[in-house]
Amino acid sequence: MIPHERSLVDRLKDKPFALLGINSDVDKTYYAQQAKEMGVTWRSFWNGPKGTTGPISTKWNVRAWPTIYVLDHKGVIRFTNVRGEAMDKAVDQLLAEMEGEAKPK
Amino acid sequence: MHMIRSAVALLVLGVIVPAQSGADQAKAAAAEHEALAAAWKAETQASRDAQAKVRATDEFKAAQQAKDSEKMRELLGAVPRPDAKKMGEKALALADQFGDDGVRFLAFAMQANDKEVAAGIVERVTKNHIKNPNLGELLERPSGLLLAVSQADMEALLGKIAAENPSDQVKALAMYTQSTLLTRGKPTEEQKQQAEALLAAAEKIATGDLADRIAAPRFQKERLQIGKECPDIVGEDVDGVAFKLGDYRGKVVVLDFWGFW
Repeated sequence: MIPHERSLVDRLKDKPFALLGINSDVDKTYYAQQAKEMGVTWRSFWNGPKGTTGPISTKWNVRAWPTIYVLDHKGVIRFTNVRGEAMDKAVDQLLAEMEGEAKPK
Repeated sequence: MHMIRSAVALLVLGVIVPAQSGADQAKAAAAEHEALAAAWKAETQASRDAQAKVRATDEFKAAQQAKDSEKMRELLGAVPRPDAKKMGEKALALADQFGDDGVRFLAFAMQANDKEVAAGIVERVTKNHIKNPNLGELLERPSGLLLAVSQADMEALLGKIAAENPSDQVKALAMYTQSTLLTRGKPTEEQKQQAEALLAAAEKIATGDLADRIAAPRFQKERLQIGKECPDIVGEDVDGVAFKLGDYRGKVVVLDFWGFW
């Protein structure tokens, strides 16, 4: 999970791409310590002190962890629950689409 | 004269004392609750620590290496487990002792996950707490009660609470829970419709987090589908800095609900 995401973020650091978490750790101190240890550099919303039953995941009806949504640059949901290679492919496809739109043939 | 005065004093006290003892009683109940929770936490932690110790022994490691699951079970089995039933029974007794304030102990007793304790909880809710506005906590995780009652009885009990409880939040929670029970497994068309009607009714009276929770399946079905514009998220990052998903428009975004736990 985290090593894969870290490499994705590293690889695309110069692209119009962002990995955003909705972090559901109850304890922010624990989070900070783990994030440092695991090299988590990306930003996360905090889901609050109720952890997995916090307000964001509740509203979004999140029942499984992790739950993943991939959005294109227009903010449209394009993929859900893609992991590993499938996540890379989804993101690359959307970045290519975006470049294609910017430079019409 | 003297006697009359003391009679008046008694009358006045008679009015004041119960009110004050009500507040005292709530305080006492809270203290007992805290003590019970602390004792239970210590007991479960001690058991977990003891298990960890067993896992660290050479004997256990050898069994693990040999994939001798029977031996592993035997070694772990020797560790005393937290006595959930005893905890549950204590919580039930406290519930009886504290009347209306006792409902919190019934919620706590749910953690025992024990059939007889669950039966005790249902019995007390039915008898004493249908109209208790603080019943909400207990309805949060009602599946434990199904150890002791049939789904039909549980639905009837929730229906009674939804009809008779004075708190809109409790009513809404009861209806919401009823709808989740109705749609467990393979619901019939009729059950599905019934569940939807209950959800709609619950959504009308619920507020806050509960309203979001009730609306969540519909929100997901209507807004969180491929091809739909993603709803915004407005919140704070883990450092307490406010931001929103919309700030990232123009970028490809992976949204990841996660945690280290």
